[in-house]
Amino acid sequence: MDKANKVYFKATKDNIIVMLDDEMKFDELKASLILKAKDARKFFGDLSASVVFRGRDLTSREEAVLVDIIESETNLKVYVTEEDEEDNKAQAKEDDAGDISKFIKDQRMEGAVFHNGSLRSGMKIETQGSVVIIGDVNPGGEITAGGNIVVLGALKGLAHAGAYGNSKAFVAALALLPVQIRIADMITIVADEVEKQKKEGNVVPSYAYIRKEKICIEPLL
Amino acid sequence: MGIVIVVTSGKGGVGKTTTTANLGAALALLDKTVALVDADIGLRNLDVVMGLENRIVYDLVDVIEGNCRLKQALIRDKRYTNLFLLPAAQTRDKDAVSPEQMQELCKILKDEFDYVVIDCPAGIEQGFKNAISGADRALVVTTPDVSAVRDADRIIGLLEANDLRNPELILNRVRVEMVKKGDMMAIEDVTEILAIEIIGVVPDDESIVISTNRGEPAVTDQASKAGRAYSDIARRILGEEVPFMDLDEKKGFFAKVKRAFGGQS
Repeated sequence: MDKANKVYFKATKDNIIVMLDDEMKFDELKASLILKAKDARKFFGDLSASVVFRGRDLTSREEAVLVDIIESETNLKVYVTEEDEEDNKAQAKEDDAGDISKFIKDQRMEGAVFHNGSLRSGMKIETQGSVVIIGDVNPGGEITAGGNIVVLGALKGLAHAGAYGNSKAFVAALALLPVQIRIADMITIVADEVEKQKKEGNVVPSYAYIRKEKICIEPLL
Repeated sequence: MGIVIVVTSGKGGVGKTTTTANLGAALALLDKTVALVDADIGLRNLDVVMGLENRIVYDLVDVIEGNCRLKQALIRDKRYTNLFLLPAAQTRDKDAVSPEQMQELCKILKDEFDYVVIDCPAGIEQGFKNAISGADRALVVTTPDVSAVRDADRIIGLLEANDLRNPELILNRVRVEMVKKGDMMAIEDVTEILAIEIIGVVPDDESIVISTNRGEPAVTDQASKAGRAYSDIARRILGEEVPFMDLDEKKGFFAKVKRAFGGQS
């Protein structure tokens, strides 16, 4: 990543989000922010806006310094908003605007079965509704759900969402590394992509769903 | 009409699954149509060793319970077009199948394939009884360990009690240098105890570990000694006379130098 991208702005309908690099020194960060703010001056105009800082833990002093920079380099009137979990999720959805986020929004998790702990080889969960696994699903473990499947861990086994015909069902996991994903009556082998992701070391939370008669995998963001 | 061969051992971890995968591949290389059947329901492995895990949709239990047709459950190997795998179910156990059902399945498979090779689970319980019920011929795998040989002896007794006369022995993971030092049972020691025909001796070989983890049978690798040993066994199964390979052949520069100087190695 080059220096310029260590700091960047994202505008949403309620907030201006300032993404900050977590690793660079604060002084360098300041310098990048000054540059970016100068660039963005015209774009922002003279509004008052709420600003959310993301990507780095700031002390209140550091935050004040950054607010000063934004106010002096642009004509914005800034007030800082604390972001909470709800906000964050909603934001994530909006950031990822388009049919995909709507797609997940449309899904309702009715009567989900929760499984606490890992699903090991040979274990099977079968339910008409949705399934949430708080743990990993190891190779040889199987989930068959009428609804959606969410794995808060690594999914390495077999997941069949929408098993009774719901082609709108999805499979989501913090690490989506299964041998096969099945949704409704479709099956996909994801081994090649999984190998690639593992090699590159960039396994990101992802979900799989059917788009245009194909099972697609997208990062959850 | 084909032949059903069961690969069994009694003890676990002696190489049944590796042997099944390699014999299947070797027979397929010799232009036979082959079906491998994983009878280890609940602890399936053959699919992983064959590198076919991600293609499983239906399994043996689905076939037996009539959830699918046999053709749908048979997975064609990615390397050999005449090699097929019928995987075991992972989320069920041995009681999901009865010996009569296995017999029926073997009969149907025999009509379609030249060879049906069954990977038997360890132990002497239900899974073993299922695996041997449809077999015409048995291969007993053992390693040159006292415990493995004991179990093999028990298995041979059970096979004979179940009308599988003349089982043949595969001695796996032999380390010649240890045998020479007297630290490992020699081939003759094992055959003396078990008193059955020996059909192959497979040397302990690192390439097996590699090929198993990669999901590629070792017989594809010409450099693998164990792979060659399995190819030889496949040819003996077909009835060819193949001399036992010299396990003592030394490779590498140092061995040659040592030999040149008359060194004992």
